[in-house]
This record gives sequence, structure tokens and C-alpha cells, in this order.
Amino acid sequence: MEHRKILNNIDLYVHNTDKFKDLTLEVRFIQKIDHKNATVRSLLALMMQDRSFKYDTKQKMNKALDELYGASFNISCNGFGYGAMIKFSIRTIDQRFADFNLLEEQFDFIKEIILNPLLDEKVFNEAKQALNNELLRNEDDPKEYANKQALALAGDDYPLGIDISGDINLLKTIKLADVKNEYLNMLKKDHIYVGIVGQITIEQAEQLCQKYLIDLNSTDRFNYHYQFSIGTSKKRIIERNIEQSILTLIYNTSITIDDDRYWSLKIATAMLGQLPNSLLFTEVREKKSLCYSIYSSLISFDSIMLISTGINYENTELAQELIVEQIKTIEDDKFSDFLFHSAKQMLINSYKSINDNPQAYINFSFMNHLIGSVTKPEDIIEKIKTINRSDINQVFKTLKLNTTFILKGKDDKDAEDI
Amino acid sequence: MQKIYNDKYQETIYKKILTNGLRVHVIHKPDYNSSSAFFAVPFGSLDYKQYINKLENEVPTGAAHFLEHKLFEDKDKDVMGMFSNIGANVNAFTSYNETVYYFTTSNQDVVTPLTMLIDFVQNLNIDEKSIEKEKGIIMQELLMYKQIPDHRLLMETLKALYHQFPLKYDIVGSEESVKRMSLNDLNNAYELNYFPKNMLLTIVTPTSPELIFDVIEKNQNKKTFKDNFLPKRAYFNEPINVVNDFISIKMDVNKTKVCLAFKLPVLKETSIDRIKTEWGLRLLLEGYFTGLNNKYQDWLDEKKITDYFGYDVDISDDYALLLFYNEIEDPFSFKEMVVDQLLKLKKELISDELLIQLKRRYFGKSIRLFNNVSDIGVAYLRSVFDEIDIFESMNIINNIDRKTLISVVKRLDLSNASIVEIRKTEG
Repeated sequence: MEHRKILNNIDLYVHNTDKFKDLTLEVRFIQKIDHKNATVRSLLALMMQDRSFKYDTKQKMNKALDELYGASFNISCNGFGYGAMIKFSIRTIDQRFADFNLLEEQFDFIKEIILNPLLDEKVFNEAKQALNNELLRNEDDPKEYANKQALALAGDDYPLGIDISGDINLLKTIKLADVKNEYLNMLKKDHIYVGIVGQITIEQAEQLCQKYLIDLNSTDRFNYHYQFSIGTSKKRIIERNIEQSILTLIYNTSITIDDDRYWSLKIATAMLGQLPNSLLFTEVREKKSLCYSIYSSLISFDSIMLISTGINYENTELAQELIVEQIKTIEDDKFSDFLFHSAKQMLINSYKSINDNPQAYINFSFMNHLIGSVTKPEDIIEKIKTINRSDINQVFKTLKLNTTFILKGKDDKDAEDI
Repeated sequence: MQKIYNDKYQETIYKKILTNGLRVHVIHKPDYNSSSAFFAVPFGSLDYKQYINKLENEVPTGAAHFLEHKLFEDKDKDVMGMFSNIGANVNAFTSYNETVYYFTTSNQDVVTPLTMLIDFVQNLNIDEKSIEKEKGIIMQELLMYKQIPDHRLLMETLKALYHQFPLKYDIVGSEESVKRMSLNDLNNAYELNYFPKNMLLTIVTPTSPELIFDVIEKNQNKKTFKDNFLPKRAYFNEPINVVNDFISIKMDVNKTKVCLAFKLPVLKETSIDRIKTEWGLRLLLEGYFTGLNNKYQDWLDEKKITDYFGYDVDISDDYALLLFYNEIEDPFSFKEMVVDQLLKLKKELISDELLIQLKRRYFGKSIRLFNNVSDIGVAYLRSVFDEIDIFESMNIINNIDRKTLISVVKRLDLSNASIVEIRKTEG
């Protein structure tokens, strides 16, 4: 994507293409995460998504989007390391399918949403209720609940322990004034990234930003990733009225996203539990029939690897033994060339597919931007090709178990903290 | 080879029926890197009882899903691993009406994974031991879905609605039916459904369609298949009344969830008329049960609904239903509110202005559907199984007028309803 610094220090990235049938525009605001601002920003996102000064009812908001041919519009919050992001995203059909200048209208809409929010008591109370409901609902899904509990236990005072969707107890204490303050912070103190994919030149995009986003000020980006340092290994078992237990393990990888060894770690994690022929899938699911779902995933900005599975409680110990064995298989260089090659190929495939997805284009450029890299997907593919077996086993030697969390069914033994 | 270009959506599709009856359709995306292929059979969870040339065949419920798991198994090779090894993502899903095996790849070589897909789907290679092993995995899948509150709510609602019709069974089957599944059941289901004339292969790719057809034809010419009769889903004499008008389930949830379901009459009609009815109903519901209606804000303010509130409508050849979801302690007041609105909807329909607004919305959405190779593939194969051209089905919405809406609301018989609630377990 082409890059320019525009206006007041805003980073604009554009990929000009007529390949897609729509144009995606994203404005991303990034601030340093803390417990309070994560919850306040979740609330702010819900309020801004719902109404604005001009579109002060749901009807008007719907009508405005329908004028743009049912534009897909969304505001969401994401966390990555020390970063807390509010993302404004709008997708409208490409100009060639429309009967008026959609590009101007799209920018005008996003300007209205970002610069003229309706931050009053009524919208605040509704959003607060909605966020409270959403957080309670998230707890109802055992797998999501288990993973969040495991991350909170592992995270302690690190950003890893902060739930970007908000904290239900903190939510009760938040006032409208807190949201208004956070909104002003967002406009004045956040780092701002704008990403666009569709039929638009960078010159056109810059002109439109000058016209519609002139009031925004961006601060410089900072280092969002960090190395998570391990304390004592923790274990917790929580009991719920459910039939299937969930086992979540969190490992410290000691490898940050800008580390040269990061790509080896990505391949090793895929070999462990991201492929249909991965070690966890083959050994725990296919050979022992212990589970239906098992996977490993990297939380890259926090240098963490998470493993999760749903199993019968009496099998949790066996599953843990098998998981440790599979990690050891990689560490001891006892994995097959076939699996190693598969993981590399799948990773290469995922980077090649970026070109066919506007959202993936923007995500890729954003991740690079955050870590100050100018890498293209082709560069990463070349890097992946050079990785050898010893690179793989070396990265897994750095793994250290940080947290074991089990969500267990009610009929089993009493819950305990160890 | 038949070539179809649609000017409105700017898409080109190529079609061919091979000598063995296999339908092959290529959606050509020359600007893309990625390819996807979908090998589909109209054998879903509702097809556990079928007629083949007037002979009835019955397998345990969940057989289509069990078969989907087992087709990936081969005594001699690691099927999934072979796809990964060439950078292709392979997977499958079973729905009520079909089973679909598919892969996506961003490599230039689509021929290798395409050949692998065809070969593994056209070769069932299982034994008793492997079936027993799979039962443990599927049991865990059943448990996983059972403890997801939204899934459980839908399943219990369908059970409350249907006496006979297999919508009352989970796609995965039940603990009992999974335990009962035998080698003979699976072989039987495979033989009766998985043959070329009954299947559809859809490929979304930048590769030349001529090459794709050539590769598939050569592959098929090397194989022989039994020329079976096309299977037909059994008819179920489903009464119009519901099984239970109220069910309360206890689960580990924070808030009480409610589903209000109306069992609607099923009509014999063409696919186009059926889709038109469903779209007409969707447009009306959008007008009354979303932020497009100013009452929606009042309901939120008065805590009659939460942001969880929603609805769904499904009109098929052999079932028709309308569902409303909410988080509320009193499900009966919720029913009263919904019925009031539905009666108003039947009487007043929606304004012409709103109809135009919604048509504009769905035109944009249908254009955007063609951006994603996976989304197009699934939407496309479903339209073929429905025997309707995908572009024609997308245009149906443009032809909806007041006359259509008047005929749609006549279908809205609200006399057969079930309420299912999921409440927090006490203690």
C-alpha cells in the first residue's frame, strides 16, 4: 500500500485497485491501554455506532447507510499489547455500480460519526445497558469465558490481563463525563491510521482527508509489543454448571513480534495446533478421540501462546500430558518433514491470500505500521521459505508454561486454587 | 460449455454437465489469486429418511454429518495433510439440506487440490474400528454445541415446533443415534447419495475454465459409477399445530433468553415464488422489528427488548417458520408485543418509500457478495440446488411490490406458536 503522512501527523495508507466491487475506508485510533479506558472506549464505540448529532435516531442512521446502498458500517475495539484501538470501518459499493458520487458521501458520513457524536445521557444509558448485557452474554459461552479467565489470570498487571471488551464491575462506576473525556483524548492524544482499499488514488484520498478529517490530530506511534515475563506458574479450576470441561493453557514464548525468530514461532505454532494435520489435532483428537476442538494460537503483541480444548474433566490430565508431549516432539526435532512443509505452505498461502481481501490488506499494512516495518507479503513469504528445522525446535525451547485454567462441570470434584 | 455473463454484477459463469451427469460450474475471477472449490451433495440432516425409486431407506439421524467426518479418512493416506502440504485449506460442513466439501488456495496450481478434492469425496474408505473412534469425537462435538446457549435455544425451539419433521433433530444427531451409527448405515447413505448425477462441483477461480473442465472430465472418465435413481427426501405428515407451546430449560446463563417461534403453513410453489415470499417477509420484518421502526427505540427504553433482540425467517419446500429472540424475564409479554406488531404489519404493510430504501440496501449487499470467493461459492451452490439462477434470485427483490407484500402477509398465520426460554440454573 502507498503511504503518506498527511494533515496533522496522520498516517494514510492506500491501495488503489478496481479488483473489488466496493471501497473500504478505515480510520483507526490507538491509545495506550489501561483497565479503565478499555471499558470506557467500549462504551464510546457503542454510543458512536448508534447515533450522531445529525443522525440522532436509529431511523436516520439506517436511512443514511441505505442511501449509500446499504453500506456496511461498524465501530469496534481491539487490543494488541499496550495498544487499545477504536476502529471506524465503512464499506460501500464501488462507484461503477452507483448513480452518484459515493466517495464524497462515504467520507462525509465518517466525518459526521467521528466529529459529531451524540454523547448525551440517553445514548449513554442505552450503551451502558447494552455493554453490560454483552459482557454477561460473553460469560455464557464456556469456551470464551475460560479463555478470558485464563488470560486475566496470566496477565496480572500486564496488558494481557485487560479485557478490551470491558470490565463489568468497572462499567458500573463509569459516568458520561468519563466517556466525554475519553472522546476528547481520542481526538487529541491518539495515534491515527487511515487505510483505504478500492478505486481511489492516494492523491484523491489525501484531498478527501483534507476536506473531511482536517480536525484530527495524531500523536506518534509507540512500541505496542512487549516481552511478557513469567512469574510463578499458576493454576486455577473454576466450576460451572456445564457438561464439557474446557482446558486452557498459556505459554510464555519470550519472542516478540519484531524478533527475527517470530516467523519460526508462527510455523511451530501452526505445526502444533493450527492445521488439520497438526500434532494436537492428530494425537489428541484423531488418535485418542478425547475432543472435537483443540488448537493453539499466538497472541503476538503479548508474546504468548494459548492452547484450548473442550474435553471431559476426567481426561484433562491425559490431555495435558499429550499437549506437553507434542511440544516436546517439536522441541526435540522429532516432527515429520511433511508436517513442517505443510505449516510453511499454509502460512505462505495465508500471505498470498491477502491480495484478495480488502480487510486483510488493511490489517497487514496496519500491523506493519505498528511495528515500524515496511515489509510486503512477498518479503514474508521469502523469509518463511528460508526457515529450517533447527529454527523451529529452537523457538519451542523458549516456551514456558505460565497458566493452566480448567473450567469444569459441576458434578466433578470441588474447585480449587493451587 | 455454456457461458453466462451478467452485466449488472459484472460476473462470468461457465457451466457444463459431464457425460456421467456431474454438474460443473466455474465462476471465473481472473483478477484474483485465490481459488475455492465446493463439491456438494444435496444430502443434509433432513434427509435421514429417503425414497429411491419408491423404496424407503432410513439411516440414524446425523448420518450426513457422520459421513462428512469419515470421508476425510483414508486407510492409506492423510487426506487433510495432503491439502495442507500444498498450501490448501480443506474443510466441510453439513447443513439441513446439503453436505459440502471445499478447499481454498492462493497458489496458481488449482488443479492438484481440485483433483484431490474430487478423489477423496468419491472414495469412501472406512471400517468398523474407525467408526467407533469417530463416535468419541462427535460426542464431544454434541456436548460443545449443547452448552452454547444460543444453539441450545434454537434446538429446543425446533423440538417444540415439530412432531415428525426432522428439523427437530440436531444436524449432528443425538447421543443415541451417534452411538447406533454402523458401517452399513454409512455405506448405504454414501451409495445412495454420492454419485455424479446427484452432485455439483462449483469452482471460483482465476484459472481458465477450459482447463478446469478438461481436468475434471479426464478424472471422471477414468472412473465408473453406478447409475442410481435420484434420492428424494421422505414426506413427513407434519401437523400444523406445535408439540409444546411453552418450554423452560435451565442452563448456566446470566440472563433469561427467549425464542418465540411461529410454525407457518407450507405451500407447494415454485422456487422463485418461495424466495419472493421469504424476501417479502424479510422486508416487512425489517420495517417493523429494527431501528427502522421508531417503536424499536421505545422498546429498548422500556426494557421490552435488549440489543440481543432479533428475528429470522426460513421458508422452504417442506417447512416454514418465523423466529423472534430476546432476553426477557416475561416471555408472554414479549409474545404479546410481537403479535401486536405482526397484526399491524399484516394490516398496514410498509410504506413505498421504505420499500425503495430497503431495495437499495439489498442491491448493495448483493453486489458486495461477489467480493469473497468463499461466500459466492456457498450462495451459488444453494441457488443451483434450489433450481434458480443466482442472478435471477438476486433480482427477485427488485420485483417485490405492494401486491407481493399483500400476498406474503396472507401466509402469516400466527395461531401455531411455541415459546422456549432458557433460565439460569438455581443454586
